Amino acid sequence: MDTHWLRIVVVGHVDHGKSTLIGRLLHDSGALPDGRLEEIRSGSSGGDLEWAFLMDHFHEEREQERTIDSSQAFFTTPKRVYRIIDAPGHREFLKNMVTGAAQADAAILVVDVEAGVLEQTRRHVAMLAMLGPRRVIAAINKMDRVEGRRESFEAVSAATLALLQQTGIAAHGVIPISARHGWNLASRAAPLEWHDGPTLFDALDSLAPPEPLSGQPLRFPVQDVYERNGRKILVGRIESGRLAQGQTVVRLPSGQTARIASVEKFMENPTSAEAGESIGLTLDQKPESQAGSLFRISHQSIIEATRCSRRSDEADAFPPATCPPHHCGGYSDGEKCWLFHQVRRGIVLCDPGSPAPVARRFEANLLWLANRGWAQGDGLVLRCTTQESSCRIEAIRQRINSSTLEVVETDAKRLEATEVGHGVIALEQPIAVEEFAGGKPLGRFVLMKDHELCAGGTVTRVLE
Amino acid sequence: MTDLDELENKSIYIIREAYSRSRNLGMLWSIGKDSTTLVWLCRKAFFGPLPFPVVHIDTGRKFKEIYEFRDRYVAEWNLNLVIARSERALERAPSFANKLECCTELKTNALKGLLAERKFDALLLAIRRDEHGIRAKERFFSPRDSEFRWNYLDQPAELWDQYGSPAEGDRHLRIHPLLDWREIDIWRYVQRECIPVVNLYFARNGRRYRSIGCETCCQPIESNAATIGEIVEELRTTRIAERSGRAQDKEQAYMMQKLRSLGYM
Repeated sequence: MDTHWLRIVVVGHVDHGKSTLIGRLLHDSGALPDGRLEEIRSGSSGGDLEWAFLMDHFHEEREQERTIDSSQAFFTTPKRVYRIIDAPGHREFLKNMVTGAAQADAAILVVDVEAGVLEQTRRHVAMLAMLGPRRVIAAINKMDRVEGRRESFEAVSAATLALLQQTGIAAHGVIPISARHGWNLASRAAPLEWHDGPTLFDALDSLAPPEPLSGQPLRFPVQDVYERNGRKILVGRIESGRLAQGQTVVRLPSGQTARIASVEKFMENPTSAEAGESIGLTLDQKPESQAGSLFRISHQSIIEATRCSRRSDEADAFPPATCPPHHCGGYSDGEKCWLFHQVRRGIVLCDPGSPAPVARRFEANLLWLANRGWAQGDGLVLRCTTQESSCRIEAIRQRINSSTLEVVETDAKRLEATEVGHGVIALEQPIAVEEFAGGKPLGRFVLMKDHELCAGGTVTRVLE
Repeated sequence: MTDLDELENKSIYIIREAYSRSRNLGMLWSIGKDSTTLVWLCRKAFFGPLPFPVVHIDTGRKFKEIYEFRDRYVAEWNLNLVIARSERALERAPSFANKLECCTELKTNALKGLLAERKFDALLLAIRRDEHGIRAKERFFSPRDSEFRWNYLDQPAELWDQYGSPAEGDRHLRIHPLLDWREIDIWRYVQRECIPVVNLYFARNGRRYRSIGCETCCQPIESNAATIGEIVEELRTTRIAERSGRAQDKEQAYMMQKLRSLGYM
């Protein structure tokens, strides 16, 4: 059995049977505890079992018979553990769908054989193409409604494959299923005996685990800086590549180099670490003159530290007034100062041989998620790993309907919820950023407005 | 990296993110296996001492083993313990109409009182998605308004480990570093790391507690699992839900949703 699990998001149009499919997958794989099915049966109205109730737990969801928010559950095949992510199909819950999809390694696209490819089918495929995951198994559902007829399947299968191809996604199988009856999930069913491809479980088990990012160049965005016994420990997660004690690294955006003096983990003594690990490290530098205990730094050093990100007239006041969180995120409670942590957050350590580009402008694809759209002039904050900068959208060259992929407007001054925009982002501070192609962690970002995550985006070209 | 390494690294990332993004962080420690694992992960995240207090919501009805365990590890791990306890509610406890009222008064309202007093703007909680269908819908960073209400019909988007910040006003964030863990993962990790846990989890005379809380509302399950290894083996094959011994999940339909929309953990 694989020691790695796989995260699978189930997407598709409203009422095409996503929650039902998940309920059935949980049941057929033996993941449901005793009594759950009976609980669901007693809550279902009429004779039919509401498989969707296994995932739809809000009473609003059950009453309105629609999934509102994403949910997760686990099931196991002999091959590995799966974490299955339910994503709502309604357009108004797109941000919940994207939240679910962003955590997945692969997707199951559910299409109703009677209804065919519809608006949210297209939109969800466009989201997967843009934000990932780009590995998709298509499940043509409700085959019981057409008595398992092969011609019905083939028409919808062709349309689904064409849609995936149009967005550059290679399908890992197209499978006729009936979620309600369990056809072609764990085992084959007589009405679909003409299907000689894999069952859904077979198709899932044939997916390779995600490529580890440890083979890519080193990207270590500093998450925070802790002081311990006078030593500064830079903590964070290695987003890609690997690092080792003694190695020289370049600090972006400044470009200064430093040597890694130690790799730190509590109660362990590692000398190296790789992508995915949350670690600490120390750099070779002059010892701090003011050696404080952990998390406590003298006022003077904080004022010095804050000067780099605050206007000088602000920095002179002490204790400093609360800093807007989008600026440096720090604050003072009048006694202890916590600003220091924030000041160094956002530095990215790279291998000097293959550093990320540093830029203040780049071209990107944006997906607008917030209910309130964007209008020209809106102040935004960009976050890319732990880097953060005020920014503005300089231009939206194309405003695109995320379902039809039609260009709604060129040189647009606004972007509405669920729309995709292709444009240029201009930052106040330079950051380390690179093209997303190949899934590079510094190639994706979010835009925040008033604490709200309102858009996700991917970098298509780094400018200057 | 193994799956446990992956879970550990992601949880540590979220814990550090919580500390970095909040002004006044606290952590809820129920002394159960999950929140004790969370304390363990916090110790790893901060290289030993926790830079924030751990809060125990004391309903006065916990098992004595829980109090003993708490006091032992507060000393051993040098934790800054804060107790949330509503004396007024405890006096009224015998007259509570039902479990919804009892949980709300002794837990949710005790926590409300403490939050008002200590002004925490963010709390780390050890809930997991696989415990309950309602918890499966949670975000890693989940905002609550001043009334502790959870606006579950309009939750913030979370992409690529980018989470919302605390906003102005009384709002606080519930931060859930263990959301991705399953019950069996917790036990495998407890085993791997030799994390101490309350002995109520281990079988005596053919019974053990699988989930612990108030003595009045917890039922042991039939089990002979007397070691961590045996618990892991039991969980590989069990068909019994983890919280089947917890009365608060059952009494009426949508009980958990009602409790949680009122601010329950």
